[in-house]
Amino acid sequence: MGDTKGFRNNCKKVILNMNETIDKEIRNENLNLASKEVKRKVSKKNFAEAIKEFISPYHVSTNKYELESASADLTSLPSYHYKFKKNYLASIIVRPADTESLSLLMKKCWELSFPMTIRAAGTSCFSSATPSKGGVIIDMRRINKIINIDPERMTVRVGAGISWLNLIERLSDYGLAPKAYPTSFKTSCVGGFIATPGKAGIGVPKYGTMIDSILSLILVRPDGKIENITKDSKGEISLEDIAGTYGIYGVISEVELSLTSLQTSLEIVGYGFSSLEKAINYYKALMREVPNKPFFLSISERSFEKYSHVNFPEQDWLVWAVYYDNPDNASRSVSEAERLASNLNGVSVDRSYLKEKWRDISDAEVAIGRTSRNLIFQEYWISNDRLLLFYEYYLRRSSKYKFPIATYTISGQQGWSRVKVFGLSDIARTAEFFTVKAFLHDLSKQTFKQGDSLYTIGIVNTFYLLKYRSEFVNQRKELKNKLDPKDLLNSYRIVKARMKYWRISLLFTLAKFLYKIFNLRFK
Amino acid sequence: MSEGKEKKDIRDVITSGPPVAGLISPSRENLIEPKTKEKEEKFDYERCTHCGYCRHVCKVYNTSWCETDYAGGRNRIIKALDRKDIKFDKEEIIPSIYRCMLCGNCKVVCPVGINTLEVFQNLRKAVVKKGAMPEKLSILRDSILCNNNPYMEQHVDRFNWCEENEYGKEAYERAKKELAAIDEAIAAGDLEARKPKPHKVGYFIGCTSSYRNKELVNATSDVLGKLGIEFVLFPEERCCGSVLFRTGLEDEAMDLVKQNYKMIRESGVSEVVFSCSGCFSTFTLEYTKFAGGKLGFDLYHLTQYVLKTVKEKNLKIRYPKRTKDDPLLITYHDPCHLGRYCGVYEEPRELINMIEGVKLFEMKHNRDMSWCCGAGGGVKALYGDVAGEIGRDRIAETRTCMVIIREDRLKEALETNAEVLVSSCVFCKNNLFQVANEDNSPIKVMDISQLLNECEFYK
Repeated sequence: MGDTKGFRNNCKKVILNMNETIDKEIRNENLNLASKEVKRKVSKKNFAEAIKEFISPYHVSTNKYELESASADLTSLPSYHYKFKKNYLASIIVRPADTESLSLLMKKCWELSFPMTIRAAGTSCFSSATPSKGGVIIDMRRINKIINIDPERMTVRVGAGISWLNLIERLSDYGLAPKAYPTSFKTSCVGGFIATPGKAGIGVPKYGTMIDSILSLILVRPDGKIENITKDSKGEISLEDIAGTYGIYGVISEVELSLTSLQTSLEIVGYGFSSLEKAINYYKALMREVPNKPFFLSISERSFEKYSHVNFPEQDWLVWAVYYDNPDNASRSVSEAERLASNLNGVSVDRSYLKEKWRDISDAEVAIGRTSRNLIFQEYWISNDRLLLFYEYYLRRSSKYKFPIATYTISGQQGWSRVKVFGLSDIARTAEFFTVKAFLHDLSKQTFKQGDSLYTIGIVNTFYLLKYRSEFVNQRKELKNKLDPKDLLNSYRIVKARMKYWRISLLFTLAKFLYKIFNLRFK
Repeated sequence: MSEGKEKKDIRDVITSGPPVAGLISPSRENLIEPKTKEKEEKFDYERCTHCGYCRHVCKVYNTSWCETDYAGGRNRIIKALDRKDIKFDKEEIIPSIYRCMLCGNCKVVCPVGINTLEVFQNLRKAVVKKGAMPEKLSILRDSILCNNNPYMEQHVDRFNWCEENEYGKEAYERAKKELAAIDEAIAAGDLEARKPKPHKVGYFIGCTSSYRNKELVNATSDVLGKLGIEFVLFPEERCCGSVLFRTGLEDEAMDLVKQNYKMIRESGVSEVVFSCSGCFSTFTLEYTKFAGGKLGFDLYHLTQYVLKTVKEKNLKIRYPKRTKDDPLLITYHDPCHLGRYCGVYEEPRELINMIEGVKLFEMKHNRDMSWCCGAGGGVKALYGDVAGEIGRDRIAETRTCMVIIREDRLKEALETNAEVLVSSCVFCKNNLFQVANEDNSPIKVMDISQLLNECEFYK
């Protein structure tokens, strides 16, 4: 018996010594490659067990199918594209239920130097919500409670993982509605729209951008510290730092939003134009000259309508606006919109077509996927003053290619618009796929050259910022280094790029060259 | 939660788009057909753009928050398996494949028109062929193949309920006589010349009503009898195969299809009535496909048949326990198999609205955007009775999903202030009845056959 006890004690000592050794190794920042491997294995095991103390085991998953699915986003690209990024696949998914467990989780990640990727609906594309260094995916969808609706103050406090549609449905019971939300509201979440630009969408032309609606929010910093940030916060981080910076400074956990009331009248006007210039002039005039700003405003190319609809307006450009207001204001706006259209020879578009477009506003851009197996697109953030310049360049470039191309624009904050350009190809046709990307790359270069920018940056587009907006990047980098020196949270967004500009340019030049050769040969 | 102003009905707001867009299925009339339809619908997943719009309507995802539980996430897995980006693992893949009610709401909202039901049923079929199958599925399969029902009951007991039901007993005896006549006619070599002439209407009962929910079969027989319909049963009736089709065992189901189809054709009926939405949808979809598009007899769900008869005979319906001024407040739950699978939304409503002394209130999510009760897709059959396992494994997690989903549906029914939740599917009725019972809910759950049986039909 004595011998057995002694043996057990010896074993315990050995295990304790091992643990101490491992802990020391983990703490040692100058680990060699071999000990890094040890650290990864041991940490991962301990990590999963440790977090189960404060997060339900249901919501800590290492199921490989779930990891595969959660590590991708809407831009469904073939695997070679993902492998271009460093370690695109997460090793664990965790779904915390509240700010406290989120904070504990992030503290644990910070302690173990685990890369963290924040994810909710993953709809903003360009790898905005996918891992770039493996590690942990923190899925925010369970932090989705409506904490408080105050009908008198017209405010709501919600968990950032709530989907816009759930929020909209719930608020409607009180006669209330959010002021601004994305066209992807059927699936996207509140926190995501703040962290990605949130500068264009439904309600934005009338009520301002997402940031204008935020009264306060709770941010969990990369080290797990919880911070309440308001419009007047004078601390290290401001609301402006958080909006549109893809979660590099912390995770938005709760948000307090100012609301508007549900309106009683909805009017839609739409006009077709054969001249691009007139269409853009009309689009700008609707924002500038009509007394009440539209709730939604868009301009689309004929091909955009054609690739998804059986019957569609004949003119090359469609400009349409939604007025959601009280009956007097709405009808005044419509009269004014009609007057402006007649001055520019706009051709009135059938109301039933516009009604259907509004009803399917979320689906419109996806519906053109009916013509291809993939949606390959880029989003540009263009000043209205330079919209014509951009579109002229777009028309010149697009005439060189045979694959279907389409574009539409939605109005953002005052004076700016989000232009979305699609190249409807099939990723199975690799050469064509890269040519589409090359075409979009040319438009990106033009965008920066004319003084504009891209709308969604994510991981994929960060190299453009480094190339063309170094001052902006350096400002952001300073705060990032302060809050997250190890670059653990949402790495490779805004301040650091995985891809090199020259490499991409070379690849796309080659793609265009090959496309040209093959096209000539086929002719 | 601050409760300030009086609640407004979202439908009072005059708009066809946001904010009510999420409650209304997208418009499809003017959308072009997907160009990539050159392949069968089971390959539709290739067209998935992963927009995630199916995510919002997926009740399973909104309970489990697991990325593989909604259509887009699952499509991503199929693509990854296709591309060999990920290896097939028959243990790990099961929850991703089987934790789906096959409710079809994702199909309704899919902007690119993917037939998700076809894709996922085919996926289950492929996965079963590779040897991945939930443990209980093999038991279900064996029971159906041995006993012609999934409940491990004796086939000979299928019509025991007839003993206590006058109309059922008569229908069974009529059918028995017909069978004898058929045998004689076949022996004589002329099936057409048989006497007595075949009856026009047959009632296909289904396994659940035969063995578990006899109140439904009794109510249906009584309603048909009260309407003066001389119907027959099918004494050789077997499981329709619905469970097998939904769970990936299509090959095993085909024998049942052949036998049931032959049985109905030989009986000579021209109209077959179903009280079970699962059987109805299986006949409408799979049997019709098997018969090359033409079954040779018409299919009716009970609600359709009663409506048709009432109109033909110019009858009125009254719920005698209540009056027009003090009506029974009812909300109607659309079963996935009747609604999204077969497009029957209006007939049950028209029928309920015809009943004097009853008033219908709609739930927020209705018709093609109706929430699933949580029992479909074999989920209840495969995971429903894993009681006490909550918190331990993913099977238990699936059960938790199911419980939450049915609770949500009941909550929505309660919001209408209805006294009774009526459905027209035995599985919906059972699942919702169970949760109402467990929660001591003030709302009563019943099948539409039971409601109709409490009504009077008069000129």
